[in-house]
Parts: sequence; C-alpha cells; structure tokens
Amino acid sequence: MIGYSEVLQTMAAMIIFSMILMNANQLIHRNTLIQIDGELESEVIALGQEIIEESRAKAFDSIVDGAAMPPTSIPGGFTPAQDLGPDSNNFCDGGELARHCFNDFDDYNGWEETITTDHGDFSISVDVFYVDDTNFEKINTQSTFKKIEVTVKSEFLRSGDEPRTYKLEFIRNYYAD
Amino acid sequence: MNLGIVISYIIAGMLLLGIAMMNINVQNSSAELTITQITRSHLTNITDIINDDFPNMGYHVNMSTSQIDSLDNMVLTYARDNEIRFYRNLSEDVNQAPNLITWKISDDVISSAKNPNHRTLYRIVENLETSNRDTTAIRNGVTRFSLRYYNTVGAKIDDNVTPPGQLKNQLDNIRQVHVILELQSQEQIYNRASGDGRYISSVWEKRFTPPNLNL
Repeated sequence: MIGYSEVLQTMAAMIIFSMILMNANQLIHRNTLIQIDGELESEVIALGQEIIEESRAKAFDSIVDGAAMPPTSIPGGFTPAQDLGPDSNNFCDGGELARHCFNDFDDYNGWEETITTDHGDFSISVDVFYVDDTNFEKINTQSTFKKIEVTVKSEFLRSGDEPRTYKLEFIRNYYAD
Repeated sequence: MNLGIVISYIIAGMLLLGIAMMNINVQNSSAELTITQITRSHLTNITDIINDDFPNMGYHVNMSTSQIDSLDNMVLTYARDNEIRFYRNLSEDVNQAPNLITWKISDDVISSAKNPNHRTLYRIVENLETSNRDTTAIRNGVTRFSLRYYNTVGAKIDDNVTPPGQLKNQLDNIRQVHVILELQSQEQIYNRASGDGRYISSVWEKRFTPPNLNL
C-alpha cells in the first residue's frame, strides 16, 4: 500500500517540476520573441527609410516642382498647411492615387499602404506638416521646414494586444535642397 | 517487489525524462537565438556597406544616367537581377576620377561551406585612373542577393536590364533599386534527435531612391 506521505511527495515533485517547466517555456518563448522582433524591426526601419528617401527625391513643394524660378513669396507661396497632400496630378494610374505619381514632398501626407515583404505585411501611414523653424513643433502656417512622419506597424510586432507603433521622422528645409 | 517502490521509480523516470527533454529544448532555443544573432550581425555588416554605397551612387560624378549623351556618361552602367554596376567617387576630391563599383553574387555555391546554399557576394571597386581592382569577397553566409528596378519612382521594370548599348533607355529610366539580401547560418538547428535540421535565415530588403538617379 502506498501511504499518503508518498503521494504527497510525488505531488510536491510534480508541482516543482511544473514550475521549472513553465519557467523553461517562458524562456523559450522570450527567445523566440527576441528573434522575431529583431528580424522584423530591421525591416520596419528599412521600410520607413525607404519612404523618407523617396520623398526627399521629390520637390519641396508643388509650386517649385519643375519651376524655372523660385516662388516670389517664401514661405507664403508654398502650399497652405490645410492643403498638404496629394494633388490632382497624383492620380495617374487610370485615375487612381499612386505613390509613384507623387511629385512633391507633401504629396505623401495622408498616404496609407500595406507593403508585403518576406516578413509579411507592414502597414504604413505617413503625415507631412510644416514645423516651426526654431523648435520644430507642428504649425498651421507655411514655413521653410516640413516634417515627414512615417508610422509602420506589423501584426507580428505587438505590445500586449495592440500592434506596436514605429515612427520614423525627417525634417526637410527648403534652402537645404 | 513493493508496488510503492515500482510506482515511485516509474514517476521518477518520467520526471527525469521530462527534465532531460526540457533541458534539450532550452539548449536548442538558446543555440538558435545565438546563431540568429550571429547571422544578423553578419547581415548588418553587409547592409551597412550597401546603405552607404547605393544612396551615394553618382556622388561627385559628373555624369547622369537620365541625361546621357554617350554610353560612358552615366551613373548606372549595368543592372541585372544579380549584379549592379555604378560610378561613385569614394574620395572627397571632385577632381579625382570616380570609382566604378560592382555588387554581384556568384552563380556557384561555395563548395567548402557547411551550408550548401552559401554563395560569394562580391564588391569590386575599380579605380579608373590607376586601373586598380579591389575585390572584396564576402563569404559569411550570403544565400541570396536579388535586385529589382523601378522607373519614375514606383513602376517596376525588367529584372534584367540589358547592358548598355542595347536597351539604353531602360537604364535611363531606373530611379529606384530594390535590394533583397538573405543570409543563412553555417550550422543547422535540430529540433529532433533524428532527421534534417534547418538553417537559421535572416532577410533584409530595402528600396533605394538614389538622389543622383532622380536629378
């Protein structure tokens, strides 16, 4: 006959073993998360830089795109802050708004797309706005500084239940072009 | 034999087996993480050079791919899915002749490598004044180096743009270069005692918009 003491000892051993097993599982889970996070975060940065580099290759403002002369009023001649975003000439793929038809820096304002890579889908959203030339805070009037904010999310990069938000920023100066 | 002792032995055996299995899993996970970090650090070393080379193509070069008047007067001279060749001045001296930089991946795998997918990635820098060729053979786990080209910022064109002289206009149209680089580990990770293991892979991709291709 097995006494109660043996049963209790067995149960104690099981409990200790279960705790060790749970810790080990946590460790393995954490290792996997570190692996995935590192791999995907490098892709997040590459995608953000991609948009920023592309936008930098465009004109600072639609008024200077292809213009022979600088605008007569700087910065008053630039696109008003509330009108930053795609122009009518950015709808080029059969009337669709297309990124490759953007011709100036602020056309990216409000742009959203999902980019598919080897690492899955990444959702991109872009904001472009004027910033103050002293503190680089957002302003609602024209200035010679525009800031682009690229927000990247992946369904595999999460903090709790919510996808983590990665924001890459770049400030562009009209005179530095 | 006492039934209690027999049952104790069975339970002890199961616990020992469980502990051994758990130990193997933890070791595998740690080994996988270490190999991933090593692979990724190799990848970062290469992407650091690519991140410097590609956006700076045409730097201090008095040429323009988009406004060529002769075949020699261009920033980008060769564009295939596995090879790219462009001019870039690696010095700060505007008067120095630009360097011709080639990135390409070998067709053949490295026979001596533990991983049969490993290839050699070459970065060749030619000094046009001295005709010196400095070849860097990168053999730290590259399995894929793939290039795609886009015109007028966004629309994809042929993977293999014919060398200059035949379809010159296609080269002129290139505004963006998309690079995919994949590295795999030397060692395999085994999840079971028998059977094939798997190599740890790390992929990086980026679409470059070199300012000198967009003038």
